[in-house]
Amino acid sequence: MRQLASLAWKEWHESRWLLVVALGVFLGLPLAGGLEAALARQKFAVLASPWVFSLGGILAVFVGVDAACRDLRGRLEDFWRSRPMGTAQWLLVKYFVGLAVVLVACILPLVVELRVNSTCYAMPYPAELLLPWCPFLWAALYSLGFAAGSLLRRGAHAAMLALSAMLLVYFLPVVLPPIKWMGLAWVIEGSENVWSIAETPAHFHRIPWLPRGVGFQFYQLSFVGGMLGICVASLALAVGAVRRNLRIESGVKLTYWSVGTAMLILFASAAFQLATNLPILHTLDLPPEEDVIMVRSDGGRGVLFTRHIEPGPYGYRPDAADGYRALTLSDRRIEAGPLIAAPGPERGYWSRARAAWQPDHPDVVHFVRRVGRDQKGYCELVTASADPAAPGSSALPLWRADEPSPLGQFAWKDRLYAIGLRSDGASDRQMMATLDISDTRRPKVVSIEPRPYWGSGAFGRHDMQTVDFPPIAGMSPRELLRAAIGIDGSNRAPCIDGDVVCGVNEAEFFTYRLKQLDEHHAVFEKVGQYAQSMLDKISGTTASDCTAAGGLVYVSTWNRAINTPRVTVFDIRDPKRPHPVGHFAVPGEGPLAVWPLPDGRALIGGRKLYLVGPPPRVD
Amino acid sequence: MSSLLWKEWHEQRWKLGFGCLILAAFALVGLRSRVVADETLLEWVSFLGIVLLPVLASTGLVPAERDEGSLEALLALPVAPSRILIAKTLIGLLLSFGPLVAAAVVSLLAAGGREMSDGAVIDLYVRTAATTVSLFVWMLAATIRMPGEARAALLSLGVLIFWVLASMGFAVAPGFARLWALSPFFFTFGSVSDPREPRVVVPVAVALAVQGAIAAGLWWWASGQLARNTASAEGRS
Repeated sequence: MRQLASLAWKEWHESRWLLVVALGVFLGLPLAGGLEAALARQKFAVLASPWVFSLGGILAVFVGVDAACRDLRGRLEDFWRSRPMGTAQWLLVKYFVGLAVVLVACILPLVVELRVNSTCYAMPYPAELLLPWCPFLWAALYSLGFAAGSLLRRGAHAAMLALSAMLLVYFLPVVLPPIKWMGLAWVIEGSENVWSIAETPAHFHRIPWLPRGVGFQFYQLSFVGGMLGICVASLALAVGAVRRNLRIESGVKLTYWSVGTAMLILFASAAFQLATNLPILHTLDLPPEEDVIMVRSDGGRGVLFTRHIEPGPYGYRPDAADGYRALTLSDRRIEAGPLIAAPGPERGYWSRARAAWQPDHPDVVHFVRRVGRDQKGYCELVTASADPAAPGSSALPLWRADEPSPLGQFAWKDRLYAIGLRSDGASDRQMMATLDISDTRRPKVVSIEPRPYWGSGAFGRHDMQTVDFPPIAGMSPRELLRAAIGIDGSNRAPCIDGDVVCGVNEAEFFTYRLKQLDEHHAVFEKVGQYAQSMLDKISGTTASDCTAAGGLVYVSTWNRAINTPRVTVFDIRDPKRPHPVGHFAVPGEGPLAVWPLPDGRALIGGRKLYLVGPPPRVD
Repeated sequence: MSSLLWKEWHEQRWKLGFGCLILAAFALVGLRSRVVADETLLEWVSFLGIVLLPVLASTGLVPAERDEGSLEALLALPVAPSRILIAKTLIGLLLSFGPLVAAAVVSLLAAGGREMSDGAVIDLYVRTAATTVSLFVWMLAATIRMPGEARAALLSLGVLIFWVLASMGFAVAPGFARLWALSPFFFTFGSVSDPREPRVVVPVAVALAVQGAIAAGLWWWASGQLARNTASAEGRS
């Protein structure tokens, strides 16, 4: 026992400076910040969690490498091997003393933060969520550093190798869904931060030693098991290597290859997950100053809306009025007619994703737009005809709209219904216009009335959702349901395919199945969801629109981090298990325009127009 | 001379393989998977090449040799130090643009004519190669007297950061637009002007002449430093 105590004292004596430096950064700096805030007459607070979260892993790696390499070099190693004690015993003492240094350096500041801060600060990962899970991650990273030091016996090279392994531990679970259970972000986001026993949901369990209750579920313990597995494997490797005097001759080559290989593995994994797999049947080249914003087609004819863009200091930007072209499709080819300028003197704002279009008249599109400047404007109905021989009528004013608002339109047989907000500075009122489109290119106003309440509210928030139908005579309940869903012109409005409503919000793609239908409303029940991947969350991917047909949902997204639009195709034929089956990424100056065709193909528009086939994973 | 070239090739060929593999694999995976637009992906490959290749090439020539202790033995050979530096420079240039050639070939095979024309792809890589060669010369001169590879790598990164910041200054300050000719990043950013915010653009021929003169001057200075290293070694012996 004295031997163990002596070894432990020796290790502590040599590694205590690391603890001092770490506490100086993780605790000293936040304390200084708190004092500074107090002197500025603000609330004194210790915010150590950002420091610990961002640098704790690196500290663990460096302490592990230092613990192993300190005595494993040249004659010093010979000296220690000549002592009357087992190599494993010596290494285990080193390991656990170093591990204690790491855990104390990282845990103590978090505990201080919890004790000192009387109110919870809105941190991305607050201390009470880091405390249950991060110690296991730090132990795993420390073990990897210890193993690297034991194998290489050279500090700098071992640190580079261990840092490469750290990159894989942090990011591989993000890019590879099968091992997401080993990801820190996955396990933290599965925890609940509850404040009293009464609020703890039934399937959660509290961790009693945490001052503010953090709940966990048993499946999250897989993360703990994974990290402990890394610890045990790394320790076994280190002890085995030292006992048998195995070492890897390292040099610059090892450093470069290890870092380069780790980066390549991560990139390839991410690319594999996000790869474009929709077969491109035909590409229609557009002039470089055109960018597609909407497309509609029945599989044979259609209309393509584009906007004029000009190169700017930060990339292309919209410059002039919209225009549109007639489309003609065959099995594997697209042809476009000449560009026709959109009617009206100004571009205006319009809900391009939900323009009213009917297969019976594939080259005519109706949409409501708001035009105006300086807080004065009005809504008008635009009829765009892609047939130069049969142009659409001029824009039809509907109501005054000094304030922008979500607009929507829906066509049914010979009627067009448009909704929006009438605002004239004195009052606001939701309006609905009914128009006669028996002559499709020359709509006539039938009535403009205040719109009674109907609609769906926000899908995605609740398990049950009711959709109230508009008071339109002559429509069947199914048609009323399609109108209520289809007329919603708001951003990220849901879409409907048969009995299933789908949509996206900040965190997930969700599906609802029709449970009840009558003449006045429909009730939906949430049956499935697909959470946004870690990769998409980290890169700030946001969804803008979804369109459904034939059991496939095409979701158009925009990746803020790399300024790139994408389309993701979800298979909802089993609504309880929606899952992605296709991806597509091409250049565009905004979210890609998508329109699925009845035969499984789809049109996707960005800087060019693409005719793509169905995803290969769909039978 | 051929012996010197063979020696340098034998020592540095693994770096050429590493650079070719990393850049070509990055380009191939990105273009085949079509994660982002082709132009964006190729810009990433170019950025990776600009950051990685000059540092990889410059640190392994003279500083690594000095770190291993073989530089003095090399300089003691009956060969002029300038010839030794010529051999090292030629291999360094090969390391600077060789991987870019491999990445360009892979890019053309994987996605030539798809979203970018072959000419646009080649143009991008040629401009990137010019930037990496220019940076390599700067880093070679800066690290000629560094005692070890690690310190040389840090100094090389410092040179890279300096030119990044300086080029950003040239971009935002209208009065310094002509100084783009001095920057290695002229070939990637300084040779084009935004039509909405036009600025003075140095003609490419002028910039090439200026860059060539700078490279010659830096190389001549580095050669002198190496010769001084020889003289001091002889003095000690």
